[in-house]
Amino acid sequence: MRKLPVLMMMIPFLVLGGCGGGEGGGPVEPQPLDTPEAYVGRGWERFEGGDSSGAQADFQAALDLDENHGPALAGYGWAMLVAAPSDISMQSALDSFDAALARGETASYVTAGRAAARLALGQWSGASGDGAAVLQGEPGFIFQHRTSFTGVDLLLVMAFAQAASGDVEQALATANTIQQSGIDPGQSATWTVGGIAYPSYAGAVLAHLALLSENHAG
Amino acid sequence: MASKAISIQAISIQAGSIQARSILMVMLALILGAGTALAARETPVPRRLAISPDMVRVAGDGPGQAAPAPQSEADKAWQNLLDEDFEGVFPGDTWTIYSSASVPYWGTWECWSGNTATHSAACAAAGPGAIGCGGLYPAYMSTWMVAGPFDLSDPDITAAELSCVLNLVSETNVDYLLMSVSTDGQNFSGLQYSFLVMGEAIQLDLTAVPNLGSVVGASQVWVGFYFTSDWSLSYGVGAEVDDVLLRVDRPTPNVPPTITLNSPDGGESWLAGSQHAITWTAADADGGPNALTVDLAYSLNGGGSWVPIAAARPNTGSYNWTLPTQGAANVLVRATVSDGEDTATDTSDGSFAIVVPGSNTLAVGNAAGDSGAQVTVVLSLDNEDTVKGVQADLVFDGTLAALTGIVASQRGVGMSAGAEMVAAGRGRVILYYSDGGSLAPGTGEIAQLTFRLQGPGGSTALTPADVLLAGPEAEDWLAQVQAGNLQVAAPQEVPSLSIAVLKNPGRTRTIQVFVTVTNGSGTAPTVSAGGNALALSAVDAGHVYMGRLHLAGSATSVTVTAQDTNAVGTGNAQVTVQLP
Repeated sequence: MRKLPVLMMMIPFLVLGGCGGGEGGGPVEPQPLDTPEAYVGRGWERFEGGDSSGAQADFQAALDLDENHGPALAGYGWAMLVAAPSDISMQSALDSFDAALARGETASYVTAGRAAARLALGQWSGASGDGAAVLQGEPGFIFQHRTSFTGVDLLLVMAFAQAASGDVEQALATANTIQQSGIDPGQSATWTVGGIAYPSYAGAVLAHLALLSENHAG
Repeated sequence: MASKAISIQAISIQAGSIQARSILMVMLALILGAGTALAARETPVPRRLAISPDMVRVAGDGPGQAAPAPQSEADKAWQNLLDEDFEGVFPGDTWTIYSSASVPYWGTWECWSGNTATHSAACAAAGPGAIGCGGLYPAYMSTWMVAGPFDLSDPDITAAELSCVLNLVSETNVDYLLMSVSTDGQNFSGLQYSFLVMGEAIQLDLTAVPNLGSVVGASQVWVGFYFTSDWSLSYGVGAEVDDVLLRVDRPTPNVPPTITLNSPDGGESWLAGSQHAITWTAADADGGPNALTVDLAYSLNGGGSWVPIAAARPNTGSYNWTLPTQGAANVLVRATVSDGEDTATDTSDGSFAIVVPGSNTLAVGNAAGDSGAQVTVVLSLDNEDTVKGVQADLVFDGTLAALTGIVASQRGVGMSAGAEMVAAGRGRVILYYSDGGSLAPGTGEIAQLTFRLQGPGGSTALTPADVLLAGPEAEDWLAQVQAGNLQVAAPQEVPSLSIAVLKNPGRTRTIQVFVTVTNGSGTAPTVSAGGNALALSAVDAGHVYMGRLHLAGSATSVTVTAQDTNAVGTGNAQVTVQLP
């Protein structure tokens, strides 16, 4: 049971490591540290500095020392989330969040990360549910390792998931809590976003979501 | 009294020679070929005999009623009223002993034990001149051993029997034992035994007592064992009796079955002529005498009269009942279970209704318009029944139209209304009163449905399916349907497409691409992202489509293009978004 997730988590690391890629630039050479906590600490430092590849390597090193280390699993999930180029690697991020939660790492940022991963994988109801759960427990949520990711992003997760599942009206209601759109389903004259009139209500709502995504997605 | 005592004493004096003669007579009988007769003993003689007025009660605390012995599982029908093995106190409170004066009478001893333990009752084992083991009973004996009265009046008693084990040696027909019963405690009738009975079980059928007939049914029955001797020969100890049993055949009373009618149990409203399950739970604690059967009946007048539904049905717990075609407001169902002897009945706790459906028709109107336009379709209901709610699916060609809304109108004003697409080409409409209101019988429009026309143009039927017409009491009214039609004119303009790219929160490399199409072909547009084809799924068939895309980490922007073609021409859209 453990072998497959670990292998899955290793795939993107090996690929990226082999390419020498990394947001921080240059090959990543994690320095040997003594404890999982030390690796996790340095991993978050690199994550906050935009070096998701280096962060990923540190979280993996921590997991090599303790495969059940909850904070390392959560950090690995976030590092994978921002870099995943495929459903396979995004699923690895989701598995890592699930594993962290299963090992008692119940901080809001873990569930928030899982909400984003689920949205990216097309798991609409799960994404919306996770976003709502975090906001219910922590309305002023801010991810401490990336302060631009807040409760607004979770509302966007929910609105995008609702739109994708066909509930345009609920998506608009959620989006309106971020920024009022003025769109009225019964008034075609209100189907305007950014000065552009849309021929359908759904088109206007989706344009409004796209605008919020551009302006607020952290 | 004095002379009688003297004569008994005189006979007792010759006891030694009499005993020797007794043995001689038995031996002689065997030699002369009477062995067979001895083994089968002589046929008992019916006899009626009263306790003589000159007899005195000499022992015992009776008459008393012996406690019935525990009932045998193996012989459930028989119950013992008296079960005496003479091993306890005698005569105790069970027996009363009567005897002539100055002669021995019934007592117990260990000289012969019958079939059980050590003791038996012997006719001369107590009283004046009582004999010991091997002794000879004296002359002029007259002694009763009486128990009772016993109550045999229970109508469940079907038979009774008095039995014992008897050991007897006496002068034939002169000295004898009488096993008997009485209904007055004085006059006894039964069977007389004499000569030789060698430890045999003997019975007296109390349904055919000599001279008395059946004493089953009598409230007081005594049992009596009497022994008498005349002046002459004495062959041995006389009568010895053991294991006296008075028993009655009282079959275990039947346990009546039970039944609970579960449905209908009141409040239902069932359509006349429809089929519903009558359900019940029946049980029989003693499992008999026969397997349970159930009779079902209904009443249209609150129990005033009953009409059979089914008779002697197996106890399956359910019966599919086809209701009568006439309506009634005060209907009951009755279920009666029988185990072959007893019955039990349960009736619906409350009345229910059988309703005769009226003629109801749900009709969908027609509309026409250009592809891309919104049109309104009238939904009408002609109802003879009172209606509280309507639910219906409308089935149509999903490439040509989509159900987008509903407004309750005309007769339907006041009803809550909802509409949604439940699948491509299938929309569901719901209209209902949430405040206790209802739609009285009538004719005409109840709602206006909104359809968005789309696709290349054509015609599609709007066919109601899975129509539910509910009455105020949750009746399930029957409904006819009338389909409508949508005429979709080919689009007059090229498709209009808009693209919405949603960059997923968290600065992931994932985007969602939504494409909204107006005047489209009715099928998914062709979309590419970053030069690669992007597969789309329908969010709102014919109108909104969506796809997901993961981008390489090196990408700084992505360009999405969409294209759709209708009969007029091809529409295009393109969006470029910057990535973090």
